[in-house]
Amino acid sequence: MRQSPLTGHLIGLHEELSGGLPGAQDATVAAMRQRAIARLTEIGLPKITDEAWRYTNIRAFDKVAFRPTAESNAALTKLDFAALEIPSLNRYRIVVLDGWVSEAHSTLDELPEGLVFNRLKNVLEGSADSETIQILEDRTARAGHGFEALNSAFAADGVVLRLEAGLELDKPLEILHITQNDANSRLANINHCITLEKGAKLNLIERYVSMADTRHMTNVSIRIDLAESAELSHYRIQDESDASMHIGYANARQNSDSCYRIFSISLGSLLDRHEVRQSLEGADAHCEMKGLYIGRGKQHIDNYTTVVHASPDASSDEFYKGILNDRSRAVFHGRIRVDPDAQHTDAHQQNRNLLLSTDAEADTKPQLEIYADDVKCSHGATVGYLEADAIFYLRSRGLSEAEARTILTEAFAAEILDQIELAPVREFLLELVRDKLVGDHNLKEAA
Amino acid sequence: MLSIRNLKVEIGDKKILNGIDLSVNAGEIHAIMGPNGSGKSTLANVITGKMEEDISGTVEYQGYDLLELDPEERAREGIFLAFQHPTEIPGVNNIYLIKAAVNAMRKHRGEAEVDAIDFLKLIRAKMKLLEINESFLYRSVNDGFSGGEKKRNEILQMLMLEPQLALLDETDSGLDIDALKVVSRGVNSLADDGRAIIIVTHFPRILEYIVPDRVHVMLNGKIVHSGDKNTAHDLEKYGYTWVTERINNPTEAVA
Repeated sequence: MRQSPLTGHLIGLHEELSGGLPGAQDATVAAMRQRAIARLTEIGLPKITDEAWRYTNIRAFDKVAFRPTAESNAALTKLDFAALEIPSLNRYRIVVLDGWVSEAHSTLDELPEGLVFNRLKNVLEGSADSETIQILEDRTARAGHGFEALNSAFAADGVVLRLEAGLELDKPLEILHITQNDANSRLANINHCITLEKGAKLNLIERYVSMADTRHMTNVSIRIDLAESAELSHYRIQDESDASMHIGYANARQNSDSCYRIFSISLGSLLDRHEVRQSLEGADAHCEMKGLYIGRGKQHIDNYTTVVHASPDASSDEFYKGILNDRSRAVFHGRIRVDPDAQHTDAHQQNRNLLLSTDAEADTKPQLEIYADDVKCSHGATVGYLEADAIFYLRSRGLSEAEARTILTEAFAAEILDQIELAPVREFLLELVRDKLVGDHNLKEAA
Repeated sequence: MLSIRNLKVEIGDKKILNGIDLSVNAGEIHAIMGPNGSGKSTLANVITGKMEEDISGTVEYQGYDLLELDPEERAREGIFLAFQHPTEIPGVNNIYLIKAAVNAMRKHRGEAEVDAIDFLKLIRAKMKLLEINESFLYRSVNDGFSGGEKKRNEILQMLMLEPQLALLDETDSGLDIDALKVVSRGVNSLADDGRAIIIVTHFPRILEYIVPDRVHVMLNGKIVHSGDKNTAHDLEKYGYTWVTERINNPTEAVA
């Protein structure tokens, strides 16, 4: 099959740059990268003829000369970090700048004992952690799509984190990803590995911002391992440049009695694809996946989620909501698989879309595969406009039509955001979402 | 205050309102009675602006051509509708809506936003009058409310907004006798020389508690009879057929 221009460009780029990537001299790492680029050559970047990418076309980025940047150790004086704070949030912070962990801007020396931090860069250079390299290798072998192979091929940096058994982090940990504004077409390939040992607890904020409306690409993998009784609350806040492409995939494995909550909030990027692959591999594991996406202009947001119930008595609750304005488009794919041994599974899924414009579109596809007989599973999907009766009710109380529409739209979003327990994060997101909604076209009446 | 002349609503070739004439003065309470499908709710919808098309005739309110105003402008000029079926609005909390509505009215009058403490004091007093629990304020508007709770919520909003012209669309339907008394007490607390109230109903019962100055009977989109409060008793006694017969035999007196 003919290679897409972007695939060809990236393969060529690998040849040019791979000698300078961290660990290039290490035979294991070099071999892993070679296999990854071979895999990318074989499968290419996703095309709409791939079933899993049927509604998401990356062709608009075909001609972009994406390129990773070299690491810069200089502290950035021009970057206004105060403006990037989530107000009144007391947190640990790790900054990832154009794909590189920036030690200068992180609070690494504050991290408590029992939280073992490493950079993927160090792992690659030292071969110290063959387990992490094995993770990259495994992913290459199973790569569901070309972006994963690409990520392994260019693997350079990321956060490798382990919470030791029983550690409850006293403050949330924010991983703040920043794309700088001084160049177009930056490509950041990021790999994070987060492991919570038995009974450990963490609030993790995974946040993405761009310093300008540049056409960059973030290709990020986050690998999550929850041991028995571990608890992770994970807030993914994607607010990158409206011109960028963001491809993210979280692979999470849960052992028995563990609890994983993810809030996936998609606000930025021209094209955002976020995959959550949840695997419940221990009895009584519980996961909650909540999503909110807001599309404006010509944004395209694709949430592709899979929950595999591989063990009995586990539960999953998935609820994604989207607000789509202008010509934006959303895709939701929710797959639930219940294996034959996973009796007493309790799995629920809901996707609701609010269209603010007649040119907006939502495609929603639930997919349930149930191989056990004693289970409770449900799913539901809706796509609709604001209710005329509700708008009239508010107008009859003296509110303008624009106010009525704004109140109702915010209420739609709040149903997800109100469930966020971390108050500063909740307030920050309510405000951010309000800005997005009121900022431009929402006050116009839908034709 | 309100003057309706030859009001017609025709959708396709269906005549829903067929030439309504009605004058309501400040200080008066009017009742509009009629069976289901007689056009009562359509009349309320025309006055509040829910229905904006297929209308002919004139509706004048305090010097305004009412049909030219948007629904929110009518509300800000003092028109309030207590809905027959109040809309459920998940995610918008009740106190938020009421406060936003009060402030919309104040802004229109050129007044500052209501003081938070004054607002709470006032709403608590009104809630006491209507025997409403405080938790009511923090629930989503009408979301999961019982029929009776919805009706009380409408009256609570009405008391907070202090309209010049209040329309109650079948506020009595679905209320038991105790709730009806409570709601009527609320409505009566609003009535004064400066305001007008129009009660739309098909049961005379509510008119025992809110005593009307005029009672109009609607049939097939027309007001076929107007009388004093005794009209309601006659209707209770003889039913709507009495009115029909009266129209057909206008010279016969009623016993």
